[in-house]
Amino acid sequence: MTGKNGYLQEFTKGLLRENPTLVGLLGMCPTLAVTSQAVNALGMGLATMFVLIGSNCVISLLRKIIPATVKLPCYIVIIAGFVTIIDFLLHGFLPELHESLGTFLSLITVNCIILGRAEMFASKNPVLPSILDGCGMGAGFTLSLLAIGSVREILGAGTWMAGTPIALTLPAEFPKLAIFSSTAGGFMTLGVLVAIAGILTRKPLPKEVGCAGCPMADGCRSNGKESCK
Amino acid sequence: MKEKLLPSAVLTIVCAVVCGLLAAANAATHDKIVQAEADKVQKSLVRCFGEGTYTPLETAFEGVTAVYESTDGLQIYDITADGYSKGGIRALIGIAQDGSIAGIGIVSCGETAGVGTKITDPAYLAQFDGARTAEDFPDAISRATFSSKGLQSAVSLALQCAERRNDT
Repeated sequence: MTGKNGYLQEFTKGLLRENPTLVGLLGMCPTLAVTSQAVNALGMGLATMFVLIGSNCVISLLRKIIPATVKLPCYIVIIAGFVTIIDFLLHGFLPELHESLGTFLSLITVNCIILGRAEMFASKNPVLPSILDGCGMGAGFTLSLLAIGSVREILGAGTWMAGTPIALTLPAEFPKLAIFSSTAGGFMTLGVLVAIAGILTRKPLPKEVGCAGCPMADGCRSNGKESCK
Repeated sequence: MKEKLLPSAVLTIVCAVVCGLLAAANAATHDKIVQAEADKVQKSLVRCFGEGTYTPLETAFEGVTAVYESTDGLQIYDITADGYSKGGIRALIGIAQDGSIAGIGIVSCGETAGVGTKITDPAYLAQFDGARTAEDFPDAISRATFSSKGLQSAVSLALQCAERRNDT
């Protein structure tokens, strides 16, 4: 866990190997809801990443103070506080971005990636790894959303990053598949990307499983006597 | 005793601290937010109805956020209507002195991106121009029925208000 490689790993694991969206299948609501356009997906990803880093940092600092019995309420209050403060700041200083994120901004509170990382990582690890974990998981979430959003926007609307300086528009003869703009197309895109992530992160199966690692060992007549092939 | 009190005490302190921070953040950004909202309405007014001075009127109607009058006699109703999402459409509806629609501008549209947001298409909004009653309205956009109906209800409300205002 210590040393440069350990810290680097805390960051990189979120990108693919433990990607919260494509491998962990966390935060499916925002994933499907905001990805009909790549710009919204990117904005949502970045806002979530910001909250994730902040909440991971604070929760990691308080991990020895918060008693186990009230840890979930405490985490939610801290996360909701962060989201509301960011909501205020964006509304006051970047009204255009606030406008495009709309209601999804306040829904970051209930994004289970944030609570999941608070519970699984930040509550057990020191501040620096927790911040790196937040960066990595946030970046993984952002990249997944951007990938889904790009596929859906290109196939469904024939544009990419519409409304930004780098917007691209496909030629009009390119067929538009309207289903990709709707939720069903979101599920299809998500499924294909989850499959691709599954292939990329696949580990070789162990050649032989001993009785100790076998889930059926309790009811198996050869349990402890000989290894099954 | 300590085990019983400590969790509640910690939770209370966490909540109090977060509340304090939120109050501070609210105090720091409140003026900015009010300003940003006002700017947004002014910007939309200028975008939809051209450069000019828009004076807020004192009249109040149920369901109407504000009424503005432009220098060339246009009445502009700022109305928030329910589309597919509650309060999803905030529109500025301009009504000419003869009681017909002179133009519609969308301040904000929280409808489903790519589906309900089709009602913000200027070509669609232009089809309302000159309408005096609901019969003159263009058809709802297919696959955006809820959003179209929300917009239509906002336009109807503006027409009713204008009529009442001219009667009195």
